[in-house]
Amino acid sequence: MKESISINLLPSKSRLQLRQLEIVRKVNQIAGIALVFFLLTGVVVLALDFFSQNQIKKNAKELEAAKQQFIQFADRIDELQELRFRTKLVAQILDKRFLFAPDIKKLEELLGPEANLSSLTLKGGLITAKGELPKLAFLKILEEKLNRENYPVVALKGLGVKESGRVSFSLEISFQ
Amino acid sequence: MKKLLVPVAGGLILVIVSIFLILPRIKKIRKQFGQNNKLIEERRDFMDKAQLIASLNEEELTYKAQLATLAMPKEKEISLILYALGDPVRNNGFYTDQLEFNLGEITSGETKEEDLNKIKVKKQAVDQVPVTMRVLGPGKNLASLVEEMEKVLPLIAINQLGVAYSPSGRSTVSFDFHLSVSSRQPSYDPEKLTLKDLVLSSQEEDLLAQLDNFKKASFSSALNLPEVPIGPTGRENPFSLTQ
Repeated sequence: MKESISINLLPSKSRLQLRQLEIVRKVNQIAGIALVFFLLTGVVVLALDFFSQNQIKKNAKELEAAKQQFIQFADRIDELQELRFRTKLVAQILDKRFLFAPDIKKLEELLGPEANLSSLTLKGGLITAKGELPKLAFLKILEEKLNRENYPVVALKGLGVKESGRVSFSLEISFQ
Repeated sequence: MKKLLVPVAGGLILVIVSIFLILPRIKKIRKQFGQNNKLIEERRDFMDKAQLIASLNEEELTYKAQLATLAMPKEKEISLILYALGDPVRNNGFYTDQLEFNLGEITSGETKEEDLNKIKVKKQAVDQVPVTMRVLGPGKNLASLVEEMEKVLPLIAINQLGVAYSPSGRSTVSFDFHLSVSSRQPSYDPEKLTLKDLVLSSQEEDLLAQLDNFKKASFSSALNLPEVPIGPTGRENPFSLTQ
């Protein structure tokens, strides 16, 4: 079996020159690779730029077509938006509206069919009812009913008993 | 070393060209791709919206729009109030003694400016027309009269009510109420509407169902309101009159 031993027999100056040549060759190689890489990157970048610009043009056209398709229904859109606008306003009105009917029903229930009213006013949740009850016993029942519930405003005044035994009253009450 | 000058200078030029030409171009391409995605998304959004709006039942939409307009008219339609209140008054054995519109005293509502799903309800969007009415009839029907009056379209809001009873049981009822009108139009940009803006919310559907149950029959024919059974998909029909 042969064994080879590398022994550089060149003088040291020549060795240095050889080494420099090798470095130059390597640097040239790297520069060449970098140039190729640079050129390839440049081509890819330009191609991508061209492609994306074309895509933008194409998508912008398609977007415009889609917009036109949507705008075709302008009448329906207007009608729907008008409906939603008006519905919101109606909701606000209903929300703020004070309903009188439930209060009148509650008052009728409270006074019972025996009560004879002479006048009734309702304003902002406050009810003022004036009238008569047939007997004093009915006044007691009314008082008991008033005491049973915790009304925010309640005042029974102007009480008087007539010769006939009828009891006049004035009731101020708020149910809410 | 002179032989290294060319590749090193070339390398430097490549680096400079990369920094000043290639990198900005790459940035531009990234931006263009982003722009493309945005365009695609926008196109899809418009297509979805067009599809949604096309799928709406036009008759149902018109009916609902008329219902909302009936609830709050655009104009100070006196005839609407006459029609609307005529039935409750008659049904309860009352007759109208006096009806007064104070058209010159229109006051503005207290509607605040709100951005309601991009539909701007501007301040003072609602005008109130004060109305006073005096009716005569049986006092025992007062609750029923008021209840029916509060369930008519156009909507009225009673401010004050006074009743004077006669010994015979007859009563004179004085109402002080107002009718709300609005001629304002919603301001919106159709292109900025989202899919959500093109669908009535459940609250809006419920409100319209509620309004549909209000008394409107006697004058709906006068306004050519079609009797269309309406109902949102996916749940029980709240507009159906025969439940």
